[in-house]
Amino acid sequence: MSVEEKDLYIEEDTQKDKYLSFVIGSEEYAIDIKYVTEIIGFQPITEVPELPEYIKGIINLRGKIIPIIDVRLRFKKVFKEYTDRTCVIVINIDSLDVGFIVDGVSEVLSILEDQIVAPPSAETGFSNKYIKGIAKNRDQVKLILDCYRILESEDLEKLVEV
Amino acid sequence: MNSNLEPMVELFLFESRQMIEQLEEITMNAEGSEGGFSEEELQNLFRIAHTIKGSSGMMMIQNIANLTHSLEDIFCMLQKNPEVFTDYSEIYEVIFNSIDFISKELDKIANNQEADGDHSSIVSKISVLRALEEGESCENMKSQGEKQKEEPKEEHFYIPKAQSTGQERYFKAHIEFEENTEMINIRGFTIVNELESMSEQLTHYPENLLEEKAGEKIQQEGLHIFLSYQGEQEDLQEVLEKSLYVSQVTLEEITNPKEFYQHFDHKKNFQEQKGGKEEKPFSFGEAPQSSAKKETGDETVIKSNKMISVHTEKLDMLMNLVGELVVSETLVSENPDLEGLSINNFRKASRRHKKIINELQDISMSLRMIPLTGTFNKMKRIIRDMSRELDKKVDFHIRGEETEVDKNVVDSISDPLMHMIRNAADHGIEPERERLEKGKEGTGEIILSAKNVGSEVWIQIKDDGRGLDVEKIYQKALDKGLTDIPREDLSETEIFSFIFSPSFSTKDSVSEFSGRGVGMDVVHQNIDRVGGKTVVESEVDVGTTFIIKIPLTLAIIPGMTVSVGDGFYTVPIHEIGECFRPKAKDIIRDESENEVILIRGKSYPIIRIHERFSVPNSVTELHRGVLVMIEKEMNSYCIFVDALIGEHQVVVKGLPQYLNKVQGVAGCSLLGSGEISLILDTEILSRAEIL
Repeated sequence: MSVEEKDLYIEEDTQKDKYLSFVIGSEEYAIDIKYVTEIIGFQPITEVPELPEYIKGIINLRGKIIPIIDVRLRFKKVFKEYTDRTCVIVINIDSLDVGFIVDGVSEVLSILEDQIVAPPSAETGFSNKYIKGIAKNRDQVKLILDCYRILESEDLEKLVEV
Repeated sequence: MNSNLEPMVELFLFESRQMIEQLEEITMNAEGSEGGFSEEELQNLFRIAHTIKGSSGMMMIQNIANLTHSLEDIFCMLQKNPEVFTDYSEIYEVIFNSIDFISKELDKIANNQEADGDHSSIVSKISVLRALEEGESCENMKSQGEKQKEEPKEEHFYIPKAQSTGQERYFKAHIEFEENTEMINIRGFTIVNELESMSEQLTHYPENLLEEKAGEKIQQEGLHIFLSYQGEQEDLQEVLEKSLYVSQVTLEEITNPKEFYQHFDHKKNFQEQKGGKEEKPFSFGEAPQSSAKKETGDETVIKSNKMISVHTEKLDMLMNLVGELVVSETLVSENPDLEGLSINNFRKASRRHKKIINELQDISMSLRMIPLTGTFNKMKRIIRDMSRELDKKVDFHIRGEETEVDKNVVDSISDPLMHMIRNAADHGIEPERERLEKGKEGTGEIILSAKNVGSEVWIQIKDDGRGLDVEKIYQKALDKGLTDIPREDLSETEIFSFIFSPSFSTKDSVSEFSGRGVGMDVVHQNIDRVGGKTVVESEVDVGTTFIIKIPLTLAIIPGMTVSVGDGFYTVPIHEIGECFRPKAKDIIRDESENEVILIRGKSYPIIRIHERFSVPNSVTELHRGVLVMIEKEMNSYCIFVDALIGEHQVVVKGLPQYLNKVQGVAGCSLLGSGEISLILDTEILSRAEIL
């Protein structure tokens, strides 16, 4: 095992089964902590023309320009005015930095693998593409977000057209 | 450079490229001057060839190694007997061929391909040259026999570092190895290597330990080492005895330095030839292991010690960070919380802070700047090749090659420049007879010069050839349907700019070098991409001058920041013709509601940014906002914005990859307040409007 792999292994180990949970509307969602870089308060967003509505624009994060996605709009929910509770979760997937606007962040929690069940398959009419699992944690249910799906744009548009 | 190469390979490519550039430069110089290579140049050539041989051998690139080996032979020959050749032209030719071959192979390696080129034709040419020499060379050279003849290029581990200090003692060591030791020459080499670090002067026999033959010799006769050493004899003895596989060591002190120095005889002779350069002894070759690192030519030692090569990625990162620092400095020193406070000491400290940061910014900017020398020297070569091919006499002059430009800019102007130089030599300069008929001198002149003008660099390519024929170009443009404007309404400059249109070539025949009609528009595009402009001045039979005006750097541009609604946008200053508040009566609407404004008798379409980008809360009445005229050679237009914010030096940043496809936005930059402003892509803006 090379040094790099070893490092990765250790890192994964400490982050294993850890999730960051956040709220959108009345639902609790969770996101794998290994993607999360930081959580920042809401800040003014520079709008960029000709983008889908759910991409609100870009912000300056200490010199890095990162795009901001409103998860609420991505889920096709109604727009909600941003408040003090509104947070931006900065995630990093495949060296791409993106900010997710969520209604509020709750906590970091452990969800063991066996607590997660797969969402109902699309054939049963369950159409939410952004969830990769449903977890029962204590007495709450958390929806585990699939970050990749949120970022894929073409895919979604095709689905909408169909 | 391809960043996914092994660091080792990358280094090899980088260094070899530098080497062959030097090789080319020296050869070009020598060719230009009377009487071939100077003593010093030959030494340099030899050293370069040797270093390339060493490092390519190490990288297992056999064809380059073999080729440079033969080159070495030639240089070595010339060193010994410069009068062998009366005509150097063939030598130059061979050297240039070799350079081309090596660079081609290097390119292959850079693209992760096998370096599989066939070097045999060049090598055979070289051996023909050598054979020639052997026929003519003086008798005593011949009698020395093959082994001795090649002597100077053998590896001598003669590493003089400092003047002898007097306490220097000289030793002779005879080392025998255990029987059946494998790779005995390498064992010997290891020992020599170790001793080198302890000794001021060292030589040994057999000389080339890396050759397998040396192994046999050591087996039979043992390894002889002569060295100087300042410490105790016992220490040396111990080092030698501790070495692996050594069976017997005889260490003797040599009391008579003369006896010692005679082992360095051929060296000394050589130094005397050089004339009084004993203080800076120079070594012929080094072990291939170290050859890439340790330069030994007198001049290059100084140069290479002061230079390090850094990956451009790191420089970009540094630039980014410094840009950030500048912004965050403003955020601190102009923090709204400080307003109205009387904090003199803080202000003083923060002014100082700002000054240092500005200096830091300047320096980090200058790191990316490289002189145009390399690019310009390439042109020399092109002119040389072309004047031969086309049989035209051309005097080529370079001026201001020390002008520094951002690395990215240099990379992107190299091709256009090459093209324009070719054009100048091919289309511009007339054949000798034609020139004489016109009453000009038989030899044409092309001047390539560079200079700083404000924040731009102007590169000028001037020839004294036949010039551009305005009428001919206009006629051609008319024929090709590039224009329908009457001749009288066009200025010369406008007509000249037609030559930058795609598929425009006035040259009737196609030659190897230029004239396929795909040239000038590509030139124009490339220069445009780095924010440059091309200006043509020409007079029939007097000559043509192309001036390329390029910004010093791409990373920071002067920009005009404007506001539309709540957002900010930046337009590169060099594209702005003027800014003004329009009067309602100047504005015309055509049948499809497109707005057009008349300025000094010319009409310009108006692009409303707020409509184009659907920005809410913006000014919509034209007379309350501002029009910014974007000047383009072909289609100038005006954009309508709310207000001008001001002129800044902006650090250009790309949009996040994720949003790559935004039309009309070239990138973004951070304003002093930390807010983001979008940089408008004026090219796309107008194009989309036409569609």
